[in-house]
Parts: sequence; structure tokens; C-alpha cells
Amino acid sequence: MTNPVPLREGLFRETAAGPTLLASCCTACGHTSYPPAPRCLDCGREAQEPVELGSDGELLCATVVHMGNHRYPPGYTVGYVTMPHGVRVFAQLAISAGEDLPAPGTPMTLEIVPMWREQEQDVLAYRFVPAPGKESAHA
Amino acid sequence: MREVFVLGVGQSDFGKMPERSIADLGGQAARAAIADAGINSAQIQAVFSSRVYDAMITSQTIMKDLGVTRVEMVNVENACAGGSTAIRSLYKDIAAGFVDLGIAIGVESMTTSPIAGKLIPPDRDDLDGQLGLSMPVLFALQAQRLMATHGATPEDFAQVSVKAHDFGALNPRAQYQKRFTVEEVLASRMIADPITLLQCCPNTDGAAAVVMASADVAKKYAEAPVRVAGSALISGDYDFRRSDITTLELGARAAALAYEQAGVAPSDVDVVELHDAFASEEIVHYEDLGLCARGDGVGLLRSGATSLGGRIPVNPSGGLLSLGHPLAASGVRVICDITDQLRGRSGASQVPGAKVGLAQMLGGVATGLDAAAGSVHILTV
Ligand SMILES: [Zn+2]
Repeated sequence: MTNPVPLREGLFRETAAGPTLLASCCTACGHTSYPPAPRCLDCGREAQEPVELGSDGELLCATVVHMGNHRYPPGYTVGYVTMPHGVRVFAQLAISAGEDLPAPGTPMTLEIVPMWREQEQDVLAYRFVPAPGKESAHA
Repeated sequence: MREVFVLGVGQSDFGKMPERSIADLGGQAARAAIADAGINSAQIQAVFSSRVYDAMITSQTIMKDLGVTRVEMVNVENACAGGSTAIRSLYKDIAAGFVDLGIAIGVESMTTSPIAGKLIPPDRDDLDGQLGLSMPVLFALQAQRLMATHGATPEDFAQVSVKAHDFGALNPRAQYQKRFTVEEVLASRMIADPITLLQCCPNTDGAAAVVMASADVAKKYAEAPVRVAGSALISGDYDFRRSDITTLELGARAAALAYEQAGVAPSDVDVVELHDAFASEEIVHYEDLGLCARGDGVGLLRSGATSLGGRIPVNPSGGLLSLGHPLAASGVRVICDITDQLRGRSGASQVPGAKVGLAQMLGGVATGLDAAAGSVHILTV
């Protein structure tokens, strides 16, 4: 067995408190960039410090994709999730076929899972799972 | 800056024609535009062509069969806005005085492209694309948001498609030329909720071409040539800068620039051709183009103002939904259709007395941007 590889370096990691997305925060203007940026996408300054967005977000909207592609079979669910610092993230949602789409505003939590296989290796990426009982950090 | 005029327009057949080459499709459109302009192809001083898939020396490939050699030829790519980019590039060269007469061409063979029959993806290495984003998914998520924020319903989105096909049934060049009911649109196969198959533009091969000229040249060939009164092309901005995904702000910015240059207000526009690759996005464009107040896009659609005989008909050609969408051709094709409208040559879908027309096209998606390229041209007679 070979180790799974992340989709790309520096996007996410597992921590003692659970999985987190990795972003950058501008020390000059406070803008948060995800994926992390080498210089601020808003004001252009270079002084950026790493921040963890954590794993809690809130669903903005979702859809079921009924046509597959070379990676994903038909019937996968995707959406935009609003994370802390107002960061809007596109990701797949862990919803089983036939289950209703979660409503906008539903608290979501991040998980890091193998998304597809490439050259005999699992490729790790992130997706969100509805967590209706959970208080959204964003709200 | 000099004034620039549209002297002639031409389109190829639109449809699924995998046996027809780029030179064949592009040549058909270019010949038609040259004939319409009443010029000789040897007078052409510059050629700008656009193609998204398998693109290489598109201008030369087409023009070598038309006797045009030894002139400046440029080939551009800007996703669905590539054709608009070719138009804009030629416009700038004529306005600046580099050339007096040229042709812009958009051509695409979707049925022989690597994405034939697939959902159009972003660039291979795009993060959101790797996570499952494609064009219909992007617009399905926007449609979901329109339902939450604008009170839009699946029936509203279907109505955009019904309207497009009502128009397309009147256009002999349309790929579909068939009308559908709201029920039929809703009952077609689901692609990405709430977008059904009949709310997606079809895979289409085709080409369009426009001959443009300076005032001195134009007045020799036409009594009242159509003037390019406003021309704008702008790249997308960061997604974090827009308040919500129910606007494509690059479209609004391109429109503002074109309105300002042309000295017209949205209320002056008589007819519009725009990017309706997916039915629901048309409602967003109404607002971004200022055809109605922000938030009133659904109301404008329901009022019938954008239908045949309405105050501001949108996509009387049938749009991408009915006419078809050969990606890079569409930005040129909308200039052809607006020109025909302003010349009173649009037959059954003619907007009576149209004097001011707007041609919009958007293209491309990349993680972190609202979209990649937005273009608006305003034509007047
Ligand atoms: Zn900053």
C-alpha cells in the first residue's frame, strides 16, 4: 500500500481538533485568502500569516450533478459553504443518493477523504458533511 | 480615436456537423460577411479569429481558401468570449488607425472537440474543477441561490428556455427551430438541479464573421452602416469582492463601460443578444446589464418585456439555447444578429424600428474569479 497523496500541498490538514482548511490572512488589511496566497489578493501586500479556517461552515446553496465525469460518477452533490472570515468554498457534499438536498443555512463540517485514485494512489481532498445539530461558527 | 462601422455579417450553418472542417465552417461565414459587405476579399487588411478547442492558426486556415495572404492575422482565445475578443481587437486596430478594413471570425467544432458530449470543465488544473465544478454546475448553484434570494422558481428558468425556443422557431439558422412548453422543459433530463437538459445550450458546430471598417471606407460601401458605438472587454474580478453569486460583476462592468462610451442608457436599448448557455443565467444578465433594477430580474422575465413584442426583446435569434453555442463563434454571432436587427433584416423576429442594440458575451471560469472574460458591444444606426 502506498500512502495517499493530497490533491495539492498546503490546502488542508488534520489537527488534534479535527480537519481544517489552511488560508492566509493579510497583516495589513486583514483579508483572508483561500487557497492561501503569497501576497494579499485584496491589497497586494506581501505580509501574510497562515490561518486555519477550521472545519465549521454554513451551506450557501447546493445542487446534485446528474452527469458524471472521468473522476466522479453521476449523482454527486456539490455546494458553496461559507467558512469563518466569510470565505466561500466550493466542495462536494457527503449526501447519499436519494437524500434531500440540505437547506441553505445548514451547518456543515469538513472532512478529509480520498476523492479519487490516480497512478495507484488515493488522492485526498476535502468535502463537507451536514451537521444539523452543530452551531455554525460563521453564524 | 476613429469611428468604426460594421460593414457586413455572415454565419455558417449551425448544428452537429463533425464532417465539416474549421476552414469549411469559417470560410462559409467569412464569404457570407465579405459578400454582405460588398467588398473584395483582397481589400482585407487584418484578420482576427477565435477558437477554443484544438486552436492553431485559425485565421490563416480559413483565409488561405479565400485568397487572403500577406496581411496581419491574429488568433485569440478567451473561452466563450473569444469571438467578442476578436471583434474588440479588430475594433481597436481600426479605431487606432492601424487598418481601415478587416474581418473578425469565430469558429468552433464542438462535436470533434475533446469535450464533445461532456459538461464543459474549467482548465485541467483548476482546483474547483478537480473537485467537481463544471459550467452547468456553476450556473445550477447560481440558480439555487436565485430561488433563495429572488423568489425565482424552476418554472421561471424553464420560461427563459421556452422564450428562446419561441424565437428560435422563427430563425432558419437555429439548431432547434422547435418550440417547447414549460412542462416539456421541466420534464427533460435533469443535468444539475434545477437545470434540465432543455435549459442547457446544445453542442453546436458553426462559425460567424463580421467585416468592420473605418468611416472613410464604410461610407463607400453602405449608405447607413451600423456604428460600433461602444466596445468593452474586461476580465473577471475576485469572487470575494462580490456580495453574492447572483451577479457576474464583470458583465455589469463591461456594460457600464460600453454604455458610457456610446452615450446611451440601458433604457435606450431596443434589442439585446446575450450569453444564455444556461437558462437561469439570463435573469442575472438582465440585472447586470441594467435592463431592470437589481433584484427585479424575475419580474422583468414574468412581465414579458424580454419576449417577442416586448419592450426589450432579449435573444430574438433564439440565443445559445435554441440557435446553439459554438463557443468562440457566439461572440461574433451576437454582433451579426444585432446588426441584422438594426438593418431591419431579422424577418419574423425583427424588433420594429430597432436603433440601438447590445451584444454581450461572457466566458470562462476559474477558482476565485466571478468569471474570466466579459464583453459588451453597443451598435447603433
Ligand atoms: Zn491585504
